[in-house]
Amino acid sequence: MLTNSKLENLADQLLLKIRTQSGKSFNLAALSKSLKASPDDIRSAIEQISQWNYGLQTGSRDVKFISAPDSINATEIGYGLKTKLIGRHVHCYQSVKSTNDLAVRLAETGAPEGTIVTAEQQTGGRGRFGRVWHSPPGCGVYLSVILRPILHPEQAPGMSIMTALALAETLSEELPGKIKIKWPNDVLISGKKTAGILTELAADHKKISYVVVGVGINVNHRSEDFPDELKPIATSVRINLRKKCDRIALLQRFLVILEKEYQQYRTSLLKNSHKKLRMYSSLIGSEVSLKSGRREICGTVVDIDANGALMLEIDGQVRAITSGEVTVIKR
Amino acid sequence: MNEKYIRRLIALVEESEIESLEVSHWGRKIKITQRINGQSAAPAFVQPVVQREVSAQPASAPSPTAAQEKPPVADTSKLVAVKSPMVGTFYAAPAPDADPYVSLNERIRVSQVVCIVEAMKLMNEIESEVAGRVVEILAENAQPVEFGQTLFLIDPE
Repeated sequence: MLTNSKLENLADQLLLKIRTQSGKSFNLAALSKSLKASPDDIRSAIEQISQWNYGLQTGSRDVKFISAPDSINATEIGYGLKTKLIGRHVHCYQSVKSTNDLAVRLAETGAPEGTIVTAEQQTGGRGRFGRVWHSPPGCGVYLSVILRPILHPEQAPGMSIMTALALAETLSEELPGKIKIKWPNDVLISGKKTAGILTELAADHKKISYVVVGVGINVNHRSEDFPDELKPIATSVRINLRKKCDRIALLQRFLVILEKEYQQYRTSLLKNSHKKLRMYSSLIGSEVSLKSGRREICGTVVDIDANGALMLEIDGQVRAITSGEVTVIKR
Repeated sequence: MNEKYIRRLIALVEESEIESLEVSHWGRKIKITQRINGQSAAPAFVQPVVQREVSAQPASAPSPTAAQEKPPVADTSKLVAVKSPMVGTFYAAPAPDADPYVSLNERIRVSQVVCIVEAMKLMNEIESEVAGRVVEILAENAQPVEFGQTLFLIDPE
């Protein structure tokens, strides 16, 4: 008999071997030999894989992979992932307070760049300033990425915008023409919020120690999954696509696009993304109010500049804004 | 003119912006002076702690006020500045209804978070590089700060 952790380990290895798209059958005796495990242990491992909600077809002498569960786990994220850096170390959880908190803790203890933390459910998902991000189980993608760019801390804020752009690009593949970014980093589908980003930085005066990019995406939420107060302002990919979306595939595509944007950011910040940022902006041309602390100013958004700042025209003067809460008054 | 009365006068002076107060009472005189140091010319990053020095002496034993004035208690040159690493908005607390990370005169540890500076929704938790006492808070909650601006002065221990 194997201990639980050894059994899970064996099940992981077995899954990696038989997890194919082709519907190929694998001989149990051969698996037993190649994994250096007894036939009984192989049977237990198959049992374990089934308990993870994988669809397997088992005969007396062979086993065949049929389907993957609708869950976000390390095996599924890693299967066919086309990135070199982001998502190469994966920590998956069922239910956590906040993936950002865990990622910060991992980053503090030296987790490598590109490490990601995911959860099926966040019980205390954080928005800015401790605002709660609503995250029911099994519907969304909740993810934090640890990045360690060799940049000055002054250059970190743009990474928030870089992430919003990667997210907008990912969702545009599903819903072309419907995605906008509300400066700086809310991602909207047809004007309603579908994803939020919380970026946290640890740095001393000269260099960045790490950046944790936290992303929450409403993927397979149905309208009734949102509490009443969010219904008018929140939406999901599913609601707009009118069908369920493969969360793993979406997550994998996001990681690929994020990696591409990040490579560019490290060499030229947002310079190459400037055009796209303008294209996705939901605010250019709008009359807005900008709230910062107790101050509130009104103006017209004329542009997004090459650093990602909001160009706000106030009484004929254009100012670059990097902070504050924007509300649209008139489009 | 008992001790309690004098204490009350000192408290009155301390609360106010006045520099000195002289009171005579049945032929006995008392003068209370306070000095507010270095507020004028010093730029923010070398601005020493505001020190109120109150000296009270009965007029019957007059001694020159200047002689009573002690030099500032803290050596301002050894104060360590916590500076903003970027342009952004200064937040003293993790949430609008939460207590501030640190308050005046609080003792803090190395790497203790003292505030957040936010820009483009990126939250930068600023840590103190030294252990010590917070002797001055130079930024106001939810107000913009510049790159390199001093946010706190810490008296290291």
